[in-house]
Amino acid sequence: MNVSLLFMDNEAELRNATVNRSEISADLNLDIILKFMARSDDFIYRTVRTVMTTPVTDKELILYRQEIIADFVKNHDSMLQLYELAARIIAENENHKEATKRVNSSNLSSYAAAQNILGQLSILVNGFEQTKKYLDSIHYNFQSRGMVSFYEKLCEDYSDDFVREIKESIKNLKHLSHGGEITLSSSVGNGFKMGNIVINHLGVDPNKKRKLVGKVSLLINRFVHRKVIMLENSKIYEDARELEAEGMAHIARLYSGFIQELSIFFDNLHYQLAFYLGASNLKKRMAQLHLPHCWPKISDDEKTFSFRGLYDLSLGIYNRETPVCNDLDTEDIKLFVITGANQGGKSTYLRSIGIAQLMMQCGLFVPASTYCSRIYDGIFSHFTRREDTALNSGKLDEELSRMNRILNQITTNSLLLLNESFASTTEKEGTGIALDVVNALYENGTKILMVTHLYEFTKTMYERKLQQAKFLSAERLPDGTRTYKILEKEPEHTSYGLDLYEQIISPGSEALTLP
Amino acid sequence: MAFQSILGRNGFFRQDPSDLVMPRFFQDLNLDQILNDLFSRYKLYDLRQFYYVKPDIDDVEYRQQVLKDLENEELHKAMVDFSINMRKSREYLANINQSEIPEQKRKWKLDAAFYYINTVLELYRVLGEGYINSEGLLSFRDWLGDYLKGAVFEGFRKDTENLIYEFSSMSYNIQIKRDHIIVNQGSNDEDYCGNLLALFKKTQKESYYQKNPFWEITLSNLEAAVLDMLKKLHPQAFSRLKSFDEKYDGFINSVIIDFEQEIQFYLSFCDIKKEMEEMGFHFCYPKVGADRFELKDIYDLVLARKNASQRKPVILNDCHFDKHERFLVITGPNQGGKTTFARAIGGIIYLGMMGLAVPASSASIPVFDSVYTHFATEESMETGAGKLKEELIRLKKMMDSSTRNSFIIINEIFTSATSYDAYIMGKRVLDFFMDKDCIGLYVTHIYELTKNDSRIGSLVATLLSEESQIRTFRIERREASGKGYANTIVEKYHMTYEEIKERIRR
Repeated sequence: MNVSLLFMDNEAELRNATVNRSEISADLNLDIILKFMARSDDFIYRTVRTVMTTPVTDKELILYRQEIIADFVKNHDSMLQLYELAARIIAENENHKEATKRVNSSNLSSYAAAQNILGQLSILVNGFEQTKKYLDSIHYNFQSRGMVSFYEKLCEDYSDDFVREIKESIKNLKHLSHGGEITLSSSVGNGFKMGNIVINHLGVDPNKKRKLVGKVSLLINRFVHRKVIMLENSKIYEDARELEAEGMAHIARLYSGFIQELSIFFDNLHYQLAFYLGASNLKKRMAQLHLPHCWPKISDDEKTFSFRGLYDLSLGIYNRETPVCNDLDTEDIKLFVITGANQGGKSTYLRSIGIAQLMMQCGLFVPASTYCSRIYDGIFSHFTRREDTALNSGKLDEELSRMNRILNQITTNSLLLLNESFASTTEKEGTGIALDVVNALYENGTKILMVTHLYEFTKTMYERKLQQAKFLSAERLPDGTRTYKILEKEPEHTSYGLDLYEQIISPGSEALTLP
Repeated sequence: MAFQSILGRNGFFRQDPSDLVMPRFFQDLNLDQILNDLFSRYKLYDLRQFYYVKPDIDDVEYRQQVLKDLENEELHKAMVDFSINMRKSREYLANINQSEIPEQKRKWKLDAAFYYINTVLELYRVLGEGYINSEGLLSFRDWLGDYLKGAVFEGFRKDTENLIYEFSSMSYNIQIKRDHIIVNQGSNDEDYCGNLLALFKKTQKESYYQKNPFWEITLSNLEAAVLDMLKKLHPQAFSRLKSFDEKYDGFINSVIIDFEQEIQFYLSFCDIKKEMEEMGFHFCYPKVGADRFELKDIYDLVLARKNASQRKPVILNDCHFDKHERFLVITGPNQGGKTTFARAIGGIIYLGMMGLAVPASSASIPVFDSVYTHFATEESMETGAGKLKEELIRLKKMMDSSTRNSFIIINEIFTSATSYDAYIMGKRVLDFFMDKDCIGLYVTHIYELTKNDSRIGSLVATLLSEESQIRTFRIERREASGKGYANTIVEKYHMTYEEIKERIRR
């Protein structure tokens, strides 16, 4: 059966938003958050890394996940037990597979193969029974649609009767190796080989041990009249054993689909629980650090973009305290140009928005006291790369090739975070490229948040008096103190002399926000 | 006219395998890379005997028609199945020699006969489904119809089917008990696996029958014991089997054997064609024997396949010869696509001559009797005079053996000579072939060779910009100069304002 906790149905993949995964993880310092969620559980880490960078675009699904997260937060300990149970069954199954692989690596007789499959089957079916029992004892606490229907579907797909029948059938098969008989039908095949072999039934007689016989009697029944041929031929007996073993292997193969089904079930369960446990961990640990959070509001008109007390979660976790928060209230703005002093909190600002948007679109709560935004079908980041500041054509080539990859995927309903892009060439050339790229995207409707030092660019854009553009600036008090607040502000006609000097003399000298 | 061969209206002459020599131009045009792969995939049939031998010009269209018929998926699959089943039938015949038991030998023969009969009947049925329009397949079908309706085949078929029916109804079941085995006549209707599958609510018929653990062609002891019993139970059937064996021998018709082998020529080419088409490449049927030479949207098979696997784009080119033109001289930067272009054209001419489809969107080609190529041998360690000597020796052979109907491709010759010498020698080579009225391509870095001769057309491998050295791999008709066009990285990434607006669409 399908475990549908992360997705409501099977069309899931179609509703993912596109992101430039590896770049955005690095640009937004996501790893700090992911490790915080994982609490040193490597599987949770890998799971949340995938889920966080695979935002979804369906509002219903986001709400669906929010409900499940609430369930997990409330029942954290029992959900953790469920997760550990799934992990244990998977490990047991893997160990069994490994062990049999080692023992039988050379030539695996059909008999041994059947035994292996039986072993695996027992582990999975027993594991399933335990899981089911545990869920029976905790399912009263579920309130989310996801967890409730998960439990209902489980009871429906694998009824107690079904599980009993399977267990009975496994027992029969086990007995076959200890006694009893098998009947097979066959017809004359090509060249008198046996053809179309079908197993008719297994006669189980668990009380009698099978003994090896030297003398084999072969009987032919013809209508009522019966011929008996006694054969002093133990080779025929060996052949018969071989045929029987093949029959067992064949039956075991019929189980393999079911084995696969159960393995996939546990893998999916384990994976999906891992994400929600990560979310629950995050919530608990944020509370310990007094980091505020809220459920985001999805703006249906796709125009409102506003927040109160938004902060950069990765910075908060890193410093173990709430960083500077920002507020914003906008309607129908497509382009944000953020300028201002170095070390003024511009990159942090960009990051706080990127993180909140990603978290919202994977169903999580967001680091703010309120956050209202639309759903994007693509989220991309393009941050300047500090490691190679050399001003050469190779750098520009690298930068533009990254931009090119984004342009291959970006849509009109995407969000693009630009942090000092096009700064790896001269200001004049950089401005030219920026004007082309930003204007083309802006006119097509893509939402852009852009931190830039390209003064000419900012000036030109401001003078165009675009309806859907806003200009923000890092606050700097008259005495030069930086508050790290980003405020709505008309761009300075002249940049601060010293800053400009720094900008020109040592391009890219703004220190990393995170030490 | 009565059916002769699917490869030629008047038959197809099979050369002795030991006489088969790979045409010289195969390696230069990279055709060996494509075909050797195919030859090993079809190693049961010696494809060399078909691909190394050029047909009569009259048979080009005869073959094109057959190939067009085989574009029909149903027919193609039927031909593949036909080949598989013919091989199966022969395999059963071969099993006869492996068996020691006379009854088993006879049964293998009976099974081979039954397989063969069904295979040819099925072939005839498919050929009557309305898929075929080609003269070759239509006349083969007529021949096949006559063969199948003949009294000889009809009697053979009846004998075989009756006997097969008799044996296939001898079913039995085996009970394996603790100390004895019981074999019963007739089959047991219980179905253990079916019940198990029902529990899982699954229907997976393909793994329904259990595998026979006795995979050898000879009989296991158990099977031999069962055979002994069957012999006692059905003496008449076994005596009829014996007389069947005495009566029929060598029942596989030689025309059908030839057809099976020769159809592989088309089936193997369909593999290449389909593989390329699945990657988005096109083919067309060339007009061979046209009075003009004109190719549109051509590409090189080997490079296209390689690029597609690396998700790199493939550039398409056009090529034509004006009425008075005899040679096209191709110049431009290294790695600019000149050699690939020449290879593509050579390959198209070869495939066209063979009566196959070509990698182009349209193609008109005059009749050529052969392709002659002269490519620098890369593995040759010789430089300077040694290399030049080697080149000239090869050139001399080419000059002697080519005719006025040959297509000539000369690629980067005389690179070890000084430019002036290379110019003078190149001029003479071109004059020689043009005086002979040959048509051809000459790839060189000496652009002066394109000048002052109305029989020479100039093609240039173009650059996007001189500074960036970005190659477009486009070969254009243009005055050779060596100058490109300026451009920036922005253009390389298609990031101008207009391009971005184009790119961001919903």
